Amino acid sequence: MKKIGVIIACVSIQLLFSVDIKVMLDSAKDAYKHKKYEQAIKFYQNILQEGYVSSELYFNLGNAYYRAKDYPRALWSYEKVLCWDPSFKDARYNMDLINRKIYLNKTIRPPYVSTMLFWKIYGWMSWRSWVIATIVLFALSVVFYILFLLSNSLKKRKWFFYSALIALGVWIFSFLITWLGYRQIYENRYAYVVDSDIVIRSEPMDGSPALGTVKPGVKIRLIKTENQYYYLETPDGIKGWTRKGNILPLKAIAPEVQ
Amino acid sequence: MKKINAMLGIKIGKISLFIGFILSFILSFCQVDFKATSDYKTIPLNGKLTITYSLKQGKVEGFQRPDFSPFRVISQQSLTGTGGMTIIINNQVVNNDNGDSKWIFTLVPTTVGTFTIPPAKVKVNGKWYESNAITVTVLAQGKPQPATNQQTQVASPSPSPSAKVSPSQSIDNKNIYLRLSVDKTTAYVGEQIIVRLLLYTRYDVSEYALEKASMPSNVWSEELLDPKSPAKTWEEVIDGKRYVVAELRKTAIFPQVPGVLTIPSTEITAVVKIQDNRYDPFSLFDQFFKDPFNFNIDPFARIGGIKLEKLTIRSNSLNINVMSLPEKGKPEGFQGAVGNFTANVELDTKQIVAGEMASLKITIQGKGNLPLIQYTPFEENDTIQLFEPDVQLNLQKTQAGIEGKKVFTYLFQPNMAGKITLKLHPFYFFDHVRKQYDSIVFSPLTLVVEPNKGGKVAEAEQKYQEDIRGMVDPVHVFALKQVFGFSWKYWMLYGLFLSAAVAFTIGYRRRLKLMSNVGEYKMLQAQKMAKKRLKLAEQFIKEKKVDDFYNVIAQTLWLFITEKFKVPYVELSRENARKVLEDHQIPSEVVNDFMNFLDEVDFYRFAPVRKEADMQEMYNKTANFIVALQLNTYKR
Repeated sequence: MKKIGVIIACVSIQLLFSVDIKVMLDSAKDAYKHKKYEQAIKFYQNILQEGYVSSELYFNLGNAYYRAKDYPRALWSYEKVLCWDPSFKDARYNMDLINRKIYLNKTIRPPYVSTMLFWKIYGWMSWRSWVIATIVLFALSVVFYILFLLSNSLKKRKWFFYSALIALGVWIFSFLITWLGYRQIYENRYAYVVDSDIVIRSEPMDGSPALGTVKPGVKIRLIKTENQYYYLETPDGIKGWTRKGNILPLKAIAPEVQ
Repeated sequence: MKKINAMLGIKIGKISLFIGFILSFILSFCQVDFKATSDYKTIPLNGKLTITYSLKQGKVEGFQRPDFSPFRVISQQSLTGTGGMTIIINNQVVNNDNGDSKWIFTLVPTTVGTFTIPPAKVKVNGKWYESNAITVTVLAQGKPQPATNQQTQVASPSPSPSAKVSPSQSIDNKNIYLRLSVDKTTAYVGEQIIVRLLLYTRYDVSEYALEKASMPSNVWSEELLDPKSPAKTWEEVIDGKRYVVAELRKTAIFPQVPGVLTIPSTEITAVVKIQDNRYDPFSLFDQFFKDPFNFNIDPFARIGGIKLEKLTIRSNSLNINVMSLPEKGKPEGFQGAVGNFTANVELDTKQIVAGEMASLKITIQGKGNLPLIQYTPFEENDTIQLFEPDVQLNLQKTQAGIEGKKVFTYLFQPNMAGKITLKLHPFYFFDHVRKQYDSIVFSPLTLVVEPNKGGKVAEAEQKYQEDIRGMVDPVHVFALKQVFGFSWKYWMLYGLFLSAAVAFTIGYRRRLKLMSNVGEYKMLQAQKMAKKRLKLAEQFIKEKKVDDFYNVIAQTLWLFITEKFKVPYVELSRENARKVLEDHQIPSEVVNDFMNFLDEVDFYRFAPVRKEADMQEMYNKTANFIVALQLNTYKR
């Protein structure tokens, strides 16, 4: 009896939590509909800060930022969408639109062939689908292997053996893509400059010579951190230090400036 | 003969004329040119007079200045041959006068009248030469009259002043020091402050090295003086002593953050000339006795009884209280301009085609922190795109500080046809004199945008009508903690699959091992089969059903023969069974034993008394016969 009580309590809390998220989602949607974009952004931020994510959530957040004319954060949100679900075509479209319309096709360093190839393949489906694919492929390779062991007929044994090998090969490939996708989501080293220009300096101190400035909306690569400074690389290939602040890393769950 | 003599006379005359010309030419080079000039021949009593003694291309061994009384010498400097004034800034020589030797005296009259300044003397190549005397009239009042023989005075290259210092003395810090001074000790953020570095000296400074200004990082600074130009000098009396003051550096600074701003002290290295009393310019042996082996590297170091000493002089540091700009009345669009400015705007066209560029020029001019001024005329929107401005800064450095103008040229692109009214943001600035914010409001500008008829411009217009793709319902919101990929559940699934694969591999290997021993394998298989067939009999043993047990045993044996040797059950009899077994080449002893066992089973089936204990024995025998028959068929 006591156990049942505990289970009911747990389920109720879970339901209450889900209801709370649903209420916030509806509220965000309503706020967006009534053009209260700042309010919609706050609702979405709260959901993210609660530890709930989804590619659609980031997409809607990006749209709210776009409407609120916060284009760097909109770009960040769409990029987060693509990390979780690279097959999300609308996010890619909106991102391209901002780059074309707002930043006038800003100069972006052409990506490496390997990077392009990865995104091409990773874009076949969402990361969650990739995860399921890896499990299915591995299970399939094990099943084929077992069938190979159990078969008495030579023809069948050959067939199952090669099938197991192919399944294992495809599993290795898909696991690699899934792992790289995992890194895109949780260990992404890129970030967006937001709010105002950042000054790139030669040393991690305020008075050191400035190497240049980077405008909001530019995607930079964070190399390392030291105290209150980031060592980063700009799309132009300039490497230097900048004080923390005005930088929104892509590995962050919610759009909180660091 | 007379003719010949006349001709010879003409020739000799020509030759002697040529020789005379050559000699006079050589003599003109050898002659020492030592002149005295003055800038004025008549000066008022409150005026100043500069007397310059110049020597062309001579190696100076000594100089004796005349008695200037009743004039008073307020400044003097000497530029002698290779020992001229050198200014070094940041280890770089910026001024080095290696030409003629000059002695320049600045005099002030003390009484009215006409006076003759006697000649000065200079020793060149062991001989003393005199300059000309100069006559000057001092009037009670009026304007100074330039001298008719005025020459271009040598520009004062640096502070090399010499006030009246006692003829022989060691260097005294009170007689030469550096001072930092500012025009204000309290200022607002962004307000201009003039910082000056002044050298106060009673010595003659022949050379000084000045390091680059090190201003704090939180100020923007601009040098107002050209480091290559001679420093401005003047005279000041401090505590009854007369000093010559040289302005070495003048910097306009604009503090960026509030708080106490510290201007760090500055250091210079100077070489000063002091009079050496022990030196007698007329003594031929004096130099020998003082430096017999010529250890003194600088051959001019003791010329004229002057001794050079190198000094390091450090200035004071200064604190300036920098106040924040007042919050009261601060406009929303204020972007940090401090000073006093005027501004105007200019639009290059009044009519344009959608997608084309128009130019908006905003000129802000005045005195203040111009380099730090920012201005954005309007915010861009979906219909107008504003590009980064081209900024031109034209600064004029005056003694009072920085002033000039900053021109922002913005290009913008209207993308929708129609009449546009550009409402420009006012330009806000803080007037530190009046201590209040001020603004310059611009009149709205009107621009007619014509629709375009295709091409790239039409594409541009279409582009700016594009919009983002809309919202979606987030149906798959999930907690980050519940993400399956690379979680422990994910790895556990892999573990399960791997375990299955390993288990099957182990089973498979065992089977292989068994199959490698054929006899054992066959026996095992036969036993397995016998056990399978006798499963029901085993059950009856447990349930102690004796009748059922023997019936099942008999039935199992007959069924085994039927199935194993493919004989229809209905055709099966005791004789028939023997024949079948023999036909299948089962050894006769096995056949006999089997037939006897069948009889035994029948006996037990129909016997009135049966022991339960015999059932297990019977079961084992049956199993053994099945195994034996099975093995014999394998052998075949």
